[in-house]
Amino acid sequence: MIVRPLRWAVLPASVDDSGLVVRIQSDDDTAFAELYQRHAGYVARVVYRLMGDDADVDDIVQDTFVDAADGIANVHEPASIRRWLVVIAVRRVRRTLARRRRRRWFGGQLAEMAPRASNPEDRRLVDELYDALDRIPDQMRIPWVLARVEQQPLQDVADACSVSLATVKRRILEADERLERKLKDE
Amino acid sequence: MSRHIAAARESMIPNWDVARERRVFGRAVRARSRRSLVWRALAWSSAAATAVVLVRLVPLGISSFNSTPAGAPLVEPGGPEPSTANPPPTFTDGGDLEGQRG
Repeated sequence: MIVRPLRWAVLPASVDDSGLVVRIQSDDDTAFAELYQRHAGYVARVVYRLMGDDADVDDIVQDTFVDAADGIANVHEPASIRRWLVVIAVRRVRRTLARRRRRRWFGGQLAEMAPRASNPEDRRLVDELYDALDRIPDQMRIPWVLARVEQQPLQDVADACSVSLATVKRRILEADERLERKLKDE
Repeated sequence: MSRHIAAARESMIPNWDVARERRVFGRAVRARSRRSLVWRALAWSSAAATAVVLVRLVPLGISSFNSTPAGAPLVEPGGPEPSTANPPPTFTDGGDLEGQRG
């Protein structure tokens, strides 16, 4: 396995994602930096919404792009590179959520986190929502956040979660019911 | 729940500025280099292990490599016949007498 260093650079915006991926696949490292600059913010937002706080966002974005650099030679649909990055990020989020649950199970404390919203009313609602999300399985939480908060098309959600469309619909509906119940209880 | 979702959409946006973007990119570069070193170390160690195994096994296997291939006749066609001047002792002589027949 040959691993080349990543380099920071700026390419003209006229090159679209497909062009960028083709350039990366032909060993143009500056094109990868451009890909990162285009999509890192979006990936960070998706990760932040899935995790519910800022604590692990940097680590997950970093690992997502390192994995992407390793696997981009095998991308067959360069135009949908953003969806592919989300698939990688979701895999990383799933691992991190599982690690958090294990830590919590063994009595560990979560890192102190910044408030999720500046507006007090929004903060209360968002805290309630993520407290409820913390109490449903990750296999429901992830598709629910992608579909309801991130508003991604269901097929993209299914791809990101590596399950069928029917399964993802069922999980989202079940998450709807559970969250509704938990939010009413509070 | 729709109010909760709307509030999440409105406020769940990370503070992703240029400095943070560059910092994470720098970390990704270092992580990739570390991964590269790990891969190289793994490649070298597996190559070294293979070499050690070969060095140990090849001398042991030389005799078998040089021996007659399976299925080949023990005496090459046209070659000298094995000598019968001193045939092995018979089973009936107790092993004392060498070369006697009948």
